[in-house]
Amino acid sequence: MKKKEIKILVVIAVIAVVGIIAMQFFPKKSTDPNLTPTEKPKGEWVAIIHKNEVAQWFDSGVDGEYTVKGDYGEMVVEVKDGRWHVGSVECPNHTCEQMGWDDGSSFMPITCIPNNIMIGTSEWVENYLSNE
Amino acid sequence: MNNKTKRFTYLALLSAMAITLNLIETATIPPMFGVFRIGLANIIALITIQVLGVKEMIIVNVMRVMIGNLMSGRIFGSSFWISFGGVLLSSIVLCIMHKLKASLMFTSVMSSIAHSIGQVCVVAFFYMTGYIAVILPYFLLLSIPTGLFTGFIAKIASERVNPLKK
Repeated sequence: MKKKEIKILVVIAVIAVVGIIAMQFFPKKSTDPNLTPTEKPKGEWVAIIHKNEVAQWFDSGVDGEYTVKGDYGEMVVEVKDGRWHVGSVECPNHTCEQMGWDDGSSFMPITCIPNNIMIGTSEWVENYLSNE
Repeated sequence: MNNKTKRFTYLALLSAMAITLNLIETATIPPMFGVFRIGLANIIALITIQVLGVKEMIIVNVMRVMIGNLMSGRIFGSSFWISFGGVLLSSIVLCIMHKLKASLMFTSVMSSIAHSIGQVCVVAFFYMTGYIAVILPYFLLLSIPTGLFTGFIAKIASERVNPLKK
């Protein structure tokens, strides 16, 4: 092999190594909204599902309020101290509001049938969506 | 044997060897990291371009993909188009390297790299996603030792095949 060819191969190898190292610093962000976010949460990842699609992911360790639009109207989910509940909802029966606070340990996720919305942990979401 | 018959016989033998090597590699050597193959059939493409020329190398490569996939029952399936993309780009690079009179080892590495890039392009087109390109740096890195290996084998084999031409 000529010297020039060896140099080209070395350059290609260096480019490849730099590319591999660069990828370790810039991990790929998930583009599928149904997949659990790759970032490490303070609490755990919880999803608000509307029509079998994740409408919103939130970290249960970060207090906040999330508004999503359902089939009937809007739903406001409140997150506080690692737990979440439906703060207000536009629907005829308000059952989901009465389901109270959830921390992922309850038997079934918070569900609003008129709005076709469910709120569950990432583990539950992955099981639920893979069976749909 | 006249020259035309001799060339035709060589072409048939080399095509058969390329198909056999391709099938043996698929059946016996598991791909590295689940996706990367050494590309033993590339040895035959390198010998063909050395012994017979560019046109014959293209014929051998096309025969290898067509008949190889036909025999393994994958003709016109996704894996066929992926191999076809790889072979197409590696053949183009082989032609360019032959014109530039590059060494066999370097030609082999460049063809191996082109094969990987061709396959990644077809996969990206099939799945309509450019994210598959993240695998390219790994392929580039692996293509260098495998290309050197196939180039080395092709060099030894060419030295033994060339005297038979006369």
